Amino acid sequence: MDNSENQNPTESRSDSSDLNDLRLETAGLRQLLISLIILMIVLSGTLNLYLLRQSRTARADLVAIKPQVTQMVADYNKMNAPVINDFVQKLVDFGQKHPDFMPIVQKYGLVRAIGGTNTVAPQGLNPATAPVTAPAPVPKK
Amino acid sequence: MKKSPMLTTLLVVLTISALASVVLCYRYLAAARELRQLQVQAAMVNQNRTLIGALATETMEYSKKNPAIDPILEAAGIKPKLGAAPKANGK
Repeated sequence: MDNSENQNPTESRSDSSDLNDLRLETAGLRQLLISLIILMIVLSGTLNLYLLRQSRTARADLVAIKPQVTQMVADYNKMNAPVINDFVQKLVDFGQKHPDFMPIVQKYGLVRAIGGTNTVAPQGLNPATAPVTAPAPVPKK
Repeated sequence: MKKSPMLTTLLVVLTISALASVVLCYRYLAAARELRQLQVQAAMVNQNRTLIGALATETMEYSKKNPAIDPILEAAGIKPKLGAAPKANGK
């Protein structure tokens, strides 16, 4: 015998009630999902507006600064850097001949090793090629 | 399950908004990175100038004790050459 045939009216009403509950729950979940998606759209839109504004500000700053810095670095590399490197090299050579000048040479990090032959200009003398690290700190007197 | 057109529309809008967030974030980060690099370059140039200025000052002080360093300072234009005509001061 089929079970459905044995169902009495009470059971049938119970099934119908469960189905209605499920429908209501599904509708509630759908509403919740829609509300959450709308909330996420609002949040995402707010983030977009913030990022758009930040991006515009950064690009405006970039447009304003880039030519100046490029020109400054180019001038420095073309005019100052050779003179400075020559000056530093002469000071290092002088320091090797006059030990009393070595403290100044060492203070500014002009030589890597005391009495060594590896001479280096102060770190970051060439901003176009120098690492991002800051020059060697000058100790206080 | 029936597909709700509203739900589909909202999901499409959310997807577009999320993609826009990614693009805008990338653009902002790229601009900020480039800006930071330029600022670092400018700061390094200024720092090097300050450093060389301090080095020149100390070398000038040293030249008072040991004039043998004078040719280097004169060659760099830090110290005026002995015997050179002083600049006209408008008098």
